[in-house]
Amino acid sequence: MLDLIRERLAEEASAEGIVQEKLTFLKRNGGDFSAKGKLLFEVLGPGGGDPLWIVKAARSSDGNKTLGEENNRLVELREILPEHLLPTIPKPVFYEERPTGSLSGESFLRGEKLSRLLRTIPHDQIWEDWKRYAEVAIGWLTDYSRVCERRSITIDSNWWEQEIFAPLERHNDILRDCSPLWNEVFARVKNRISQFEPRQYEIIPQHGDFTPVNIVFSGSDIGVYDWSPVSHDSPPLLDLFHFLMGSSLRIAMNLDGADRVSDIRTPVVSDPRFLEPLGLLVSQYCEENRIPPEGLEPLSYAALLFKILGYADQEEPVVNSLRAWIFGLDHWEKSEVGASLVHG
Amino acid sequence: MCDYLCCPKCGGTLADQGENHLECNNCSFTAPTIDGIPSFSDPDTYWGEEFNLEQMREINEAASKLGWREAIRTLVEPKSPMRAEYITAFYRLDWRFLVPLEEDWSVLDVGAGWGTLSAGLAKVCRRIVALESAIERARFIDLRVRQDRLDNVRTVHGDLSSTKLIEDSFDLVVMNGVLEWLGWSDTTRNTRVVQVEMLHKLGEAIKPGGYLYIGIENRFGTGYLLGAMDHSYLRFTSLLPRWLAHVVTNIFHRHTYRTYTYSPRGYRKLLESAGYSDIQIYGVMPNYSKPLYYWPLGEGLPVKRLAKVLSAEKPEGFSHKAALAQGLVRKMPPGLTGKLSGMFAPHLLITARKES
Repeated sequence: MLDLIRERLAEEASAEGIVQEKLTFLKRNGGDFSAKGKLLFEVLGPGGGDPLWIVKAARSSDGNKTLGEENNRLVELREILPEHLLPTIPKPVFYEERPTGSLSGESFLRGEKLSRLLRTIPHDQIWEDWKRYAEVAIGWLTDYSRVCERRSITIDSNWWEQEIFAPLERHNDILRDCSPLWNEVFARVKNRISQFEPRQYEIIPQHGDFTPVNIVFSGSDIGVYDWSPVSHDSPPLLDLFHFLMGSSLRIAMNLDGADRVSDIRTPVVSDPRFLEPLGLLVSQYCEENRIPPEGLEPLSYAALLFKILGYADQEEPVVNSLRAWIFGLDHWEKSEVGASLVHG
Repeated sequence: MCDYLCCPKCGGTLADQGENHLECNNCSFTAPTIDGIPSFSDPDTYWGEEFNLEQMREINEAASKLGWREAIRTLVEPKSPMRAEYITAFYRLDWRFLVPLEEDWSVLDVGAGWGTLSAGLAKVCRRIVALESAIERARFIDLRVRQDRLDNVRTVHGDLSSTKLIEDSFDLVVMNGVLEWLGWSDTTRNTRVVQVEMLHKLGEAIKPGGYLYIGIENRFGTGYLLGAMDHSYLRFTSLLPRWLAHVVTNIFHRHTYRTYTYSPRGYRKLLESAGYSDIQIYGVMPNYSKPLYYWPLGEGLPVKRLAKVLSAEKPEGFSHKAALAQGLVRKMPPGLTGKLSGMFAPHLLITARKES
C-alpha cells in the first residue's frame, strides 16, 4: 500500500524536491478510538520532523462513504475560501476509491494541537494565552462564516423534540450510567429550553467537530483539520459552542492535573476569567451569522446537547467524553453562561 | 465440492455432504462435522490463554443463547479486560493496509483464535476460511460469524498438519501469532525445518503473486531483552543460542526448545528458504495484535516521529520507562534510530509474496 501512496504523492513530492522512493510513513490511529472509520498514515520526507502529508484510510464501508464526503468537502471549501484562509485548511492531494478501504491524501497542517497547548500552558499564563487563542479561533470562525452559503432553520418545540430530546431519551440508560448528574441536568435544561420562543435562524455548514483537538497553532497561525461531511441538520453556532466547551475542558485538565477529561473537577466553563475575552468575539461572530442576542442561549443548549447526542449515538459510546460534557453542561446551565455571553 | 481443502490422505476431492460434512471422492476419508464445522483434528485437544476448556464451553453456551458480544461482556471482560479487547477491537486488523486487499480475494486465517481477524476480513473480502485447532474456539468463531451474518466465512476445525489445502486457492494467508508455535506440530524434527516446511505448504496454497502476512515477535526485541516471558514460558530463552535454549527448556520443561522466533534478518532468510519473495518487514507498537503504530523497519524518521507523538499524547498505559526510551530516541540521529529499531523492535509485521 505504501507503493500506492508513494505513487499518488509523486507529483506533490516532486514539487517539494523529493523523489517518491524517499517517502516513508508512520501508521497511526485516526483521532480517538471512537473514530472507528479510519486510520492515518503520516507521510514523512527525508528531512524528518513533521509529516508532509496525511493519508487517511477507511476501515469500513461507512468509513469509505465518510472519507469520500470529507474529501469532497475539502475540495469544495478550497473553491470558496478567500486566499488568506486557504493555508488554514488541509489541501486535498488525492482520493483513491477502494471497496476494501478508500484512501485520501491531504497536506499536513504544521503546528501544535490546541488541545495540548491548553493542557500544558503554565498556570500563571493560562488566561492570557486563552484570550489569544480564543481571539484567533473565533475570529477564524467569523471569517469562515462570511463565505458560506446560508439556509434557514426554525428552532421551535418540534425541532427540539425531534432533533434533540427524543434521540437523547433513546440513550437515556447510557447517559445515566455515564453520569449520575444526567437525569437532573437534562430535566433542568429541558425546563429552561421550554421557556424559549420559537425562532428562525440562518445557518451555514458547520465544521462539525471544531474542538481544540482539531485545531493547530503555529505561533499565531491557525490550522483547522478533520472536516466532517457537510451536514444541514446541525444547529447554528455548533462550532462556537463546541470550541468553548472543548477548550474549557482542556484548561480544566491543566488546572486539575487531570489525565483524562472524565477526571475534571474544576468548572472552567463558568469561570469569569474564561468568559472575560469572549463577549466581543461572540458578538462579532453572532452579528456575522445574523443571530440576535436572545438566540445565543437556546443555540448554546442546542449545540451542547447535539454534541452529547453525537457521543452517545456511536456503536461504542464515548463514555469519558460524555461524563465530561455532562459535567460541563451542568455548570453551563447553573451559571447561565449562555445568557451571560449575551451581556459579555 | 470443497474448493479450498482436499483429502489429507490422498489429495482427492472433498465433497460437501451437507452441513459442511466433507467426504473424499477418491478414498474412504471423511471429515466429521461438529455442530456443522468440518473437523480434521482431535476434538479433545484444547489449549487456552486465560480460559480452560470448561470455561470456554460456558462462553460458547452463553454466546449461543445471548449472543457472542454479551458472552464476552459478561464472561470474558470481568476476568480479562485485555482479552475482551483482543476479541472485539476493530483496530486489530489495521495491518491489512500493508497488502493491496481486493474484494474478490479468498483469505485463509491460520490459527483464527476467537475469529476477530476473520470476521473483520469477511466484511471486505469474498471468502474467508478460518482454520482453528481447538474445537471450542472454532465453535465460537462459527457462532460469531453466523450471528453477524457473515455468510462468507467457513470455519474449519484443524491445523496445518491435519488439513491439506488446495494449491493456488488463496490470495492471502494470515498467520497472526502462529509461526512461533509451528515447531510443536512435529517434535521429532528440527523446529526451523518444520517451520520452513509449513510455510512452504502454505505457499503452495497461495495463488501466484498472492500474499502471506505474519504478525510475530522479534527474537531480540526490547521486551525479551527486558525479561518478557518467551513462548517457552521461560524468560530470556529467545536470546540464547538455540543449543543453549534446548538445554534450558530441557532442564525446566523436559523438552527441546520448540518455539523459535527470529531476528528480522532471520525471518527474511526463513521466508526465502520457504520460497517467498518481496519480503517487507515493519516495526509495530504496542504489539502485533494491537497494531496502533507501524512503520517500515529500519527507517529512523518514523520512529523519531512516533517518539514525539507518544510523548505529546501520552496514551493510557504510557509508563515512565517508555517515556525515558522515547526521550532517548528523540535525541538520537535518525540513522542510528533506524538501525537500533531494526534490531530491537519488539514486534514485527511481515508481508511476503509467492512468485507470480
